Amino acid sequence: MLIRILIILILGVFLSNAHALRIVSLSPYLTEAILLLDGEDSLVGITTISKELFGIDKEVIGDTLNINIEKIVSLKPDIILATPMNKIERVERIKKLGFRVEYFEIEKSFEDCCSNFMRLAEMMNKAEKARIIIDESKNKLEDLVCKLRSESMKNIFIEVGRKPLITAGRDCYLNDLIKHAGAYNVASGIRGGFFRIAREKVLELDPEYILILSEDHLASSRVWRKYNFLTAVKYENLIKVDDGIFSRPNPVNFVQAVYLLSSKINSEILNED
Amino acid sequence: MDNILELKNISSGYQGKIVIEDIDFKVKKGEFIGLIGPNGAGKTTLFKTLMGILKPEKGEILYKERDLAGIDIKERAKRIAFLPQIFETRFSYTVEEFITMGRFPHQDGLSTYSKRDLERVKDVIERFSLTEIQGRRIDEISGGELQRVLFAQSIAQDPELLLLDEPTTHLDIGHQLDIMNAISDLNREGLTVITILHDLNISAEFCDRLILMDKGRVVRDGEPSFVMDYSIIEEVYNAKVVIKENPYSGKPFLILYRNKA
Amino acid sequence: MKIKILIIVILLSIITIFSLKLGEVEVSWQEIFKVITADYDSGIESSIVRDIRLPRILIALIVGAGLAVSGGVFQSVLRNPLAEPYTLGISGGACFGVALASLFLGSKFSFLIPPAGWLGALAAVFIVYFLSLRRNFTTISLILSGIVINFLFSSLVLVLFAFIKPNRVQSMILWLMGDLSSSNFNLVKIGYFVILPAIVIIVLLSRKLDILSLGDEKAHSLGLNVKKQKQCFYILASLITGTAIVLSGVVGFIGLLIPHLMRRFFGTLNRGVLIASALSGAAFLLLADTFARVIISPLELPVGVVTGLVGGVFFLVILILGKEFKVG
Repeated sequence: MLIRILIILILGVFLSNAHALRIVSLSPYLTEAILLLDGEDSLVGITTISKELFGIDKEVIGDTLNINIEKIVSLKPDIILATPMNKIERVERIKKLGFRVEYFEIEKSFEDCCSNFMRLAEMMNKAEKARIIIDESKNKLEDLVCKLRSESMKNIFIEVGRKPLITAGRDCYLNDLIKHAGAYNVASGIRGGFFRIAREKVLELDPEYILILSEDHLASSRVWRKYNFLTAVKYENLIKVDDGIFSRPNPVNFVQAVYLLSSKINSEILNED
Repeated sequence: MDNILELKNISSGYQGKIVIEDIDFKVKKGEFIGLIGPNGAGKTTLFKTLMGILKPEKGEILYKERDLAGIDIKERAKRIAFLPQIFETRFSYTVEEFITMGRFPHQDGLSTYSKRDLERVKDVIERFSLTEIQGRRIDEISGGELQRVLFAQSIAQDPELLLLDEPTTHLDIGHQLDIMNAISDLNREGLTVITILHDLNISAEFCDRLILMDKGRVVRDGEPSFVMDYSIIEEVYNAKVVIKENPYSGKPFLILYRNKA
Repeated sequence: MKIKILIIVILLSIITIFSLKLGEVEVSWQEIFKVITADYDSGIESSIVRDIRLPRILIALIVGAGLAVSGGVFQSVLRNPLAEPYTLGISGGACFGVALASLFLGSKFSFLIPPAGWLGALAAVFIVYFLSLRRNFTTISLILSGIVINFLFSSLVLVLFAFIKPNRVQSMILWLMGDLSSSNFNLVKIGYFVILPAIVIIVLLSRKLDILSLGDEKAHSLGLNVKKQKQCFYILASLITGTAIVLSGVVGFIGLLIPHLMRRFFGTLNRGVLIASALSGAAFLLLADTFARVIISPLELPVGVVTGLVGGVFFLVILILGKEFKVG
């Protein structure tokens, strides 16, 4: 009887590893999520940017937009992870060839980040690990939110792109991030999602802080400093961050980003961390 | 029934604006007619109406007793050839290719040029001494040669009636006479010709009949000696001239002189 | 002349075979041979050659041929050596259709975007057609209407860019420079069912094109129904161009350059020029596309960039060598 159980167990372990999962990730943020889940072994293809960012030695399948169909197909992936940032016609073409494509839409909230993360984990059979990470993140977040409860809400403008000026409105994880950091996203009253905004409008809204996520920080700051009547400029509240954790919204990054942001705008409270 | 062409009360013009009015004359088969008149008299307009490029506002045109308007455009092209005044050489066809295009009305649908077509083209090339330049491109030949080529293309069409709009402009006297003599020869072989000419002497010398137009109407129609009357010429062209008789042919010719100081 | 055509056909075959061979993934000659003889297997190499490279090559061939022929036709009909398939507003219309669809359709309906582009091209063709109809389809009216429509539609597209999601805009810009990467066999069918017959019809009618080039009055006097013929050629060439845009985005220079070049080698009579243009256009675009997808692999250059650069260099050479801009 014991032997039978043993045989079944061994078989089970054997079968579940018989075919290691092969995943091609078409986005740095999904690649990072896989790495967080200890799934590096399953990763067979990544974008050029992912290679630069994470220094992992995997086959490159092209840029985020400019993906190479042949290369992806030749890697014989079981799952291809795609986002709206990829050239959709090419992704669809791969799908038509019979490959499994999983689309990940842009998250609207922390909850979304968690559920997307869990969804990815389930595909990789790593639900347990994901659960742990998510719970940890949720706890950290709650802690922080408690500490911030008494703080007054600061106004923030998020600069996602400089030329043209792009911001994030409501229904976007960046907005949720701001809320958790105890601030108010001035663009949330206008629209949802990512959108172009006139610089004039920002001048009118006069935020207390400007969060610069676009690549060329110096150039962005220079532009904002021209308007020295802006509150954010007067009080040197131009927050520059390496946009990595802000643009790759997995639960871990999300929480880290909230911490980073809130420490910059509420420097008094968070000295302990 | 030897009227190849009959114009009955034709009025025509562009975009509703009448340029020629009350045009009424008959053309017999084999006539050689010179259409003369000052600039703006309506000569080219008349030709365009004959060609069907313009539709007459009033009147009708009969071709061999059939209403011209009712004749299919390809049928018309088999019988009437038209040589316009200006030709821009934007394309470098060879002389031979160019003349062969004159056979187009005689082909139906998608058929290629027949043996007969190619023979006719050869005849025409020889006739107009174009054999040496037949392989050259039309934008590489002289003005005189080009005129011969254009003319040859119209003849390759094997028309019964040939309409020429100023075939001798820009040519030197040698080439002018060449062309006119060639037309004469063809006319003697049975081709009916109506040609617009600016040179009154050439018209009088070569044409059996002259039609003088002014301000959109026919002012005089008949033998050269009848039409080339100094008073009418002076009135229509607004220029003082003297008409004498050409000592070699007996036809009228025009003497002009400079204003005295 | 038959020899020259043969040379082009041989070049074309060589380029085709090499295009099957070259790519991101190594494919053996054996595989290529198997695919050509339709001896398919389920291996990855076979799939790549058959499902990815083959449709792409077939589309490059038909689009290249179509654009070259269409360009030749427009140059003859408009009696303008600088005319090309997009002169009459078709690309503007197609862009507009694609932009509009990108704005209103979510990613689930992205397969509707190419047909929207086609409808846009159709709209542009109709508008130019009716504008010119009122003016009797003269050459000037066609050119002017085309310029105006192109300008209008392009401006509208730029306006739409302000509203479309930034990543979609980027995607559209890639498409605007020519993109054959999403080729599949449905598109191949569309290409060959529409463009190939149109090319054949045009070649059969090429003598009428010659006559048209003599000028409206002379052509009329030779028995050609000038207005009807111009409309006919206009519709055929526009059909080819519109379909080509749907299949491959906007690929410039082929329609302008190839007919010019062919006239130098094949004389001025349209029949020879158009046949040679079709074959050379096919070869040229295939060569350009293969180059574009191989040179910075795994990234791809937009094929329009390659054709633009080559075309630009060519014209520079022509200008420097002082040849005139004749149609031939």
